[in-house]
Amino acid sequence: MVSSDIIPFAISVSDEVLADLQTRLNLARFPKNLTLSIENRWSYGVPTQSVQDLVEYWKKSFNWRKIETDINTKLPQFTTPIDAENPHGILTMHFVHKRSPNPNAVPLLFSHGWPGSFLEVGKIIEPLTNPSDPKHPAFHVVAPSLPGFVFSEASKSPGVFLKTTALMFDKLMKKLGYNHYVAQGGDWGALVVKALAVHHGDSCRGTHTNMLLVPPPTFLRNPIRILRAAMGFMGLPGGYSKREIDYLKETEGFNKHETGYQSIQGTKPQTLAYGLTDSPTALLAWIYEKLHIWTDQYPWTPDEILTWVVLYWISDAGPVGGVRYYKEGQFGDGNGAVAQIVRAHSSVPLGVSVFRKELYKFPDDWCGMLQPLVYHKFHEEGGHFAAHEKPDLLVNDICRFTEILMRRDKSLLPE
Amino acid sequence: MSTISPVPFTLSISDHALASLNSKLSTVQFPNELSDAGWEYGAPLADIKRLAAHWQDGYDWRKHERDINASLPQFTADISVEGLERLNIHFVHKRSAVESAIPLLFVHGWPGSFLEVAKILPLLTAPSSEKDPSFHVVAFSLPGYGFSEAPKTKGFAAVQYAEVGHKLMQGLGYEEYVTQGGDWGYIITRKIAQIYGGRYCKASHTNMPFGLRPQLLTNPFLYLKHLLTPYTATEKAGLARFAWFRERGSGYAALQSTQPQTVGYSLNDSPVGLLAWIYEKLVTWTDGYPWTDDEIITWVSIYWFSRGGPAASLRIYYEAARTGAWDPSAQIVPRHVPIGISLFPKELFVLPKAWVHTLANVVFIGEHTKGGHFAAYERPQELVGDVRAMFRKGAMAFGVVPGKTGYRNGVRGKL
Repeated sequence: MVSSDIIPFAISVSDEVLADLQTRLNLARFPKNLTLSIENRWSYGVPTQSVQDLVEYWKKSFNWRKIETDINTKLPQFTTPIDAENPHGILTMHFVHKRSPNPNAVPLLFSHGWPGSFLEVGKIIEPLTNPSDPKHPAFHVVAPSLPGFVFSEASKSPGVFLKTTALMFDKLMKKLGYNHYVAQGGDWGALVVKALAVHHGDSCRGTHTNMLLVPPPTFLRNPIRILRAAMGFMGLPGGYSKREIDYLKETEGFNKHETGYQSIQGTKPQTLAYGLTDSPTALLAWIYEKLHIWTDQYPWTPDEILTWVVLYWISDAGPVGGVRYYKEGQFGDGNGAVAQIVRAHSSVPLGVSVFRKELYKFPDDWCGMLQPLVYHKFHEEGGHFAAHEKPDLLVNDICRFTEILMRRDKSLLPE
Repeated sequence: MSTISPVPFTLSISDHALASLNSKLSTVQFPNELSDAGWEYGAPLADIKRLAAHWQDGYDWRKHERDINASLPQFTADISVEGLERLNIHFVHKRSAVESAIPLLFVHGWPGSFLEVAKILPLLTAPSSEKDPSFHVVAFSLPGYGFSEAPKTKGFAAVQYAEVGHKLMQGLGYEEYVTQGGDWGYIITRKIAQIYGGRYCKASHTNMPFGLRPQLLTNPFLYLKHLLTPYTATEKAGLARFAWFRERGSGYAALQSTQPQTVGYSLNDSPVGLLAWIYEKLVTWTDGYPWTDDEIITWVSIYWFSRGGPAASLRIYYEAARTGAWDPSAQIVPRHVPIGISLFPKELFVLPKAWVHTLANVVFIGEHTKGGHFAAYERPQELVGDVRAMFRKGAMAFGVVPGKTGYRNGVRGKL
């Protein structure tokens, strides 16, 4: 079951790269801030003081070698060639793989997004592979890096989007001996697992997501939903609940005020990438903004923030790999790859967890429109990076979802 | 009769700033690029590499600094903005030898600068033919651009930029004046016409006119005319370009209007990041203008060395979005302020001719077969030709500024 071209991998950044980072940080030139009140500090973007403080820490206190060792110790990583087919050819895929000692463990694919990484599996991998309660399901966990992210090779040809990513991930699972598996993902990972459900439903037997994306109902196809939305907005009985209307308002607010990054990354990622590749300060600000505003009062330490940023800095493709992925997916194109996946149907069962500060949230009855919804859980806390912010809650949801799946689908039991 | 005591200004960037720029250029690193990407993903790698190398090795800032100082007489003066702050404003000011020349305020936009007046300045102040009117020209650096101070408080929007332009003209003794502008200059000159039109601002010319599709109820005659007249080939091409701009070319605006500070770190810290961000527009917004490497780097240098730093220049997008500057109602010019427009085929908003009449009393339309967004720089002869035609003897806007017809006194009446 173990191919000879699955090669153990350890992150090992050269001294030159670390020294070069120091040089750039020492030359950093910061924009000035407007004079803003405390509650408005973030209204134009990341405040200068926050970035300056992080840069100081990066220069003087950040110990990458120690963190590198920790990551390599806790997360067993590998690389293997995967055929991404025409026109991309064979691409190296980087992934975390940890098997459970439990013989009945279910294979689980965990897909990260942007600006996340395979590190997001860090807090959930232990309770998933080795649950403390023997009655809980156990999992063999595979967490690949998206193509072009960190140590997964980027294609030189355009067009690596969801379908290709799903193809590669499915091949990876099969290569590791997992012919049937469950998939979990948020951010891009949510779309990747949907693509797996749509294109690889024979092997991907269930998808769980913490960021469900659905196409909005139209008056012609779903008049009741439109009516309920209207009534809910007006506070009338029979309409959506306050919680669901808040979801819609918050989703709209996010779309209106915070999706500039999607617009630029989805149209001119190369133009953006020059600054992100040349200036670690630029990359830090670009990523840190999301870490701060997308989470629910998560107490990020400087070490955590800088680790997440450094992973993009040291990626094989560099930061451009991550931002180009948006254009590959034709994000924002109404008929593009992302839109097609979001609109597609699948008979693969779906589990949804809704964390309070997630970016996209929809009324309950929109969630089961395209896949059979077998698990739906709401949380009063937590944000976009659920696996990192609320690992216990997410692990619990994954377990409950999988239990429901296993009752319906015997193929998930070990062969 | 100047009331603001302008201080002569000589552009003189410190050796320290030049050295620090050079350190950054010598450590630049580049993202990779997809094969055959062309311009599809943004500024092409080969172009940026070539420009960066030239910037470091061949480009002579001091020479261009001398040229700018020799050709553009510059000054600074303090202007107070009501309810906000007092800012030190940098501007070009050149009087014509014709005493009764028409005072003209030239307003630039992004990613332009006061440099955009360079080619039209001699043509406006000293036409070779006595049949053409002369102008006294004032071209200020918008607050936050070039060598004007940047606002420190939030809320500095179109009204405030208009106030600065108006007060500058008043302060220089030009109680009554006309304006010319494109890009943000269009929005700001419209605002000047709305607030100070009639009494002070007598007429305005723009090379980036906006308009609305005529509606039956608001512009019945135009509506019918528009309905009955098919689009010309030029108009169809223009609408296609507008669609391209909206769908593929406005990511930068979506970002700058919502979270400008976050991308500001990239522009402030990486000269190559700034170069790519601006260069993409210089090429895609012009009509095959044969930019030299020196021209591009000089335009970018104005941002790199600007008083407020490059990030400050983005905030106008945010403030304008928040105050509805792009709403049609904000662009309507009162009928008593005649408007002239020039239509260049590669402008970004190229709308059918009928539409421009919906927002203003258009007394002059100049149409051209070549030229783009930076009309004053790309097609100075044509732009000045239009401005002259709008104000010359016999034209509808002739003599709008009493006593300042643009001709030597004693020459009256129609030609």
